[in-house]
Amino acid sequence: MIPAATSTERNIYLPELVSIEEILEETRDIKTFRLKRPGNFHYRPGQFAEVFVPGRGEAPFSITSSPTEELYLEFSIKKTGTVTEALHRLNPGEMVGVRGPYGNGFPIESLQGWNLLFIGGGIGLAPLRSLINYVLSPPYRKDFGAVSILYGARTPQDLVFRWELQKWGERTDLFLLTTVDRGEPSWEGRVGLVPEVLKGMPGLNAQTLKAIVCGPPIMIKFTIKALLEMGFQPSNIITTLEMRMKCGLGKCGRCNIGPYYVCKDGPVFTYEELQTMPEEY
Amino acid sequence: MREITMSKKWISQEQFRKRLAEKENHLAITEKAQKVHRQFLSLGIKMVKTPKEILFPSWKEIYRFFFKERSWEIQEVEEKAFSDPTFLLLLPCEARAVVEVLDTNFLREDYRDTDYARRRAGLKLVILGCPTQHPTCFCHLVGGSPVWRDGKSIFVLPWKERFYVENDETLFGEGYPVSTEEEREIESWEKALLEKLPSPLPPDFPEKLYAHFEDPEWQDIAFRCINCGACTFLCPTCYCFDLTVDGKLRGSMLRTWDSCMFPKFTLHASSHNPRPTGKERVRQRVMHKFSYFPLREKHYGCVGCGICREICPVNWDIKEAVERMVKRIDSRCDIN
Amino acid sequence: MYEEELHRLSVKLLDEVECIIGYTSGTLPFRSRPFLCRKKEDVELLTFNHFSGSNLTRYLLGKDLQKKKVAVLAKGCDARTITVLLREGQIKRDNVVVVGLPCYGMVSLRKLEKHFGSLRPQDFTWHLDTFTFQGKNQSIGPFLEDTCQRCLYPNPPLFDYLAGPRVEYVPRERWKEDSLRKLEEISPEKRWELFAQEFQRCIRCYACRNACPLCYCKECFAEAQRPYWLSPAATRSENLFFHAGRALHMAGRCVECGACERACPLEIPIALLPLKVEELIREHFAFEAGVSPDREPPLLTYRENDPNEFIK
Repeated sequence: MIPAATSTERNIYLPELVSIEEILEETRDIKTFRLKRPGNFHYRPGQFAEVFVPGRGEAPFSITSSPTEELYLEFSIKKTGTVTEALHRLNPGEMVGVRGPYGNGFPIESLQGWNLLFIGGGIGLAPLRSLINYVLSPPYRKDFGAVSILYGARTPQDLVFRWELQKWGERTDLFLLTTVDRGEPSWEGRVGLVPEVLKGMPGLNAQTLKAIVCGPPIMIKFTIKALLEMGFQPSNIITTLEMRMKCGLGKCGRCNIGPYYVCKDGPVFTYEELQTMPEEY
Repeated sequence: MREITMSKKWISQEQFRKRLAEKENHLAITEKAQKVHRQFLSLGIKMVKTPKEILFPSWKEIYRFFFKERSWEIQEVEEKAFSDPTFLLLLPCEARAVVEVLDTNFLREDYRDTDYARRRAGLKLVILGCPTQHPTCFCHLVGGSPVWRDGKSIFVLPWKERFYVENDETLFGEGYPVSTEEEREIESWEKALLEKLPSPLPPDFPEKLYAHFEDPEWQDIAFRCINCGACTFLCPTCYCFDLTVDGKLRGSMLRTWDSCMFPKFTLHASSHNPRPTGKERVRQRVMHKFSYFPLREKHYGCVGCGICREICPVNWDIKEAVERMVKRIDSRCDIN
Repeated sequence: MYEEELHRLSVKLLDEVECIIGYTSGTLPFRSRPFLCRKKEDVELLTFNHFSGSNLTRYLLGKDLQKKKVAVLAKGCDARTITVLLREGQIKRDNVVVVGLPCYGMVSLRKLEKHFGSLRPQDFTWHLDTFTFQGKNQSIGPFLEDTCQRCLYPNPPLFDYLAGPRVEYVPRERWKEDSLRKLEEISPEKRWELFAQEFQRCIRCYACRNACPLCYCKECFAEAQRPYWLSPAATRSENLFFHAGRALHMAGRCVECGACERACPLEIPIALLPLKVEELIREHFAFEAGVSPDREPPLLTYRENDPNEFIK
């Protein structure tokens, strides 16, 4: 790279090129990409990075692997537009650009000592996974209380991280409940919408639990409603929002909700903070 | 506020014109400054529509990429020697836009925009005090004034037959010293001018406006706007930009001006759009300038230059919109 | 121009329609702006003068107004737009009441400023085809917008009510000023240079496109990603592509109202390209957009017995 002629400051928009190590097909339109982790890339669970596909474009994706994984970064990407389509056509060994990490990430310090309830819908499990694996990793497990995970998708075909769900299900130090909106003959698990299943979960003590929710906007809306009915404090409900972003670092002005930039002050917000923001997301 | 170390001098008309003619290639003047100071029209200085043309051009390559030997390479764009004008003559409102809004956004310590920093360092602002207010002006409403300066840029005030100049070491050369009486005369003129200005918006206006996000008045306010983008592009404070890739096997990442007025500004890939109609977008523009930005950065995001009011194809008026909301707030309407 | 008649008519109309889309005076000197009149008390605010340049039919396409019965004030060119919109199925005839405004032309503030310097409203009084400046009589001809100087339809070809007396002359024949003819006198090389220079200044704000009532595509080709036609960078070539592309998309549809040119904040002569395209359409197809509701627009009609060879 030819360095900038006049300053020693780095161009803040420049991505670093890394290779794709592995691609896993999760569902018919979601793939998880495992990229070589760029040097000096330190991040917190819940942060995101801008992935650059040369010749196509750039888009923000939350990092789904825990920062405790030192050698790689994982992104779970759904095929919806130009950039994601191009990503889905790539193969292991090809290069993409990564810049980041951006965003505020989950408030780890405020979660320590609490029991945690993770509620994910569809691809919303992706940002949660980085926090779940961080919490479950050996150096940090003792900092957190009991872990419960409620995950739902539309159909059994739409469940992501099936191999991860299996691994989590085998652990004795967490409670996992998977559900689908619509079952299939081969599906032996629960059938029901996430907010409904949530209400039926036994032994949820709203006083000792912090809930972390992520999923499609409508699922978040009804889940939060259910959590409030169950007695959760708004400051104990945490969610991560999606917004159209370009620069990812609070300059281009497009991802704002009221005075907050989702790329800088978010994407993680407590419900208490959301209540002060205009409903424009 | 005057600093004791700020230099002040008188420059004669002749010397003023002579020095400007000598430095011709390094000068630019904004269109609005030329309209207000019609006497400068004959000087033939290169005109720019807005300070953004120099500091934050409408399109720029951020970096280049190309496919070589089965893999990609990314290359920074070599910056040519700074050939843009080094002195920009502009009005206090436009200078305020640069110093309070553009600088705040691009030079923030977390992620300084190096291109903007380089251009800003190479540009000296020459603030021309306004002798009169143009029909489109409303700088007083947002805490500005016809004689605002930041204490660091050159300031020029046409005064009777001469020019009163502050803070200039490089442009106009040696002048005549300003006596204490003359200083006092100018100070008291300025004081009288500021007292005659209508009052600005109340200090808690950003918070009050924030509470009126769901006010039904917005539907009416947004009616005639055609959602083009002319206002945002010519506004001296608007800084929203887009990053797009141009080219397939070889190309660049472009930074181009973008506008919150465009429907695709907030369009998600999933087709969800938090601002689907003109009403949301117009509301966003007013709220950002008069509520969100001041709540974050303590300055208004609008400097009251009125350029948007002048060029709007349908005369949509941001001052009118703000005044309507002031009325709504004052009448303590219950918007729930 | 004939505002009293307009007010009387509007008061009666509000019994029939939910609102009237008209003009009112703007917040800046000389300016006129679109206005939604819903109440009879507000009818006094409706104006129509030489600065009422916006094409109001644009507002008929808004989602909330489309379902209601509205009246719209339309000059000759605007009424032509309504015919085109009806033809293209964008509005329903039963929902629109057209109030025709016979028009003497829109005055260009830029031309006035060039001639008279700083403008003060109190120096001017306006009559139908003349005005006085500081007491002296002037003809409006030289000060009309370029598109109005070459206008062929000062009287609306389509209307439900006419708000004033008809204009007795055709502006193009009276003023004999035609910006297109002037261009044709220049050599093609010089013309290319002129266009290249002008369109280099364009900042792609899309004011021209948004002011045009016939540019109603949900996604403009200029902003499309798939396929990717143009880069958003405002370079000379991209800008020329945009304007030429838009002119061609307007072929056989442009009603020569000039709203695009009036909207441009940089005073670029935007309308020249669509105007030339419409001249070509007149020459090759003997067709004018929006004049006869029964004629099929030549570029939007498919016929198996098309006389052109290339279709076979």
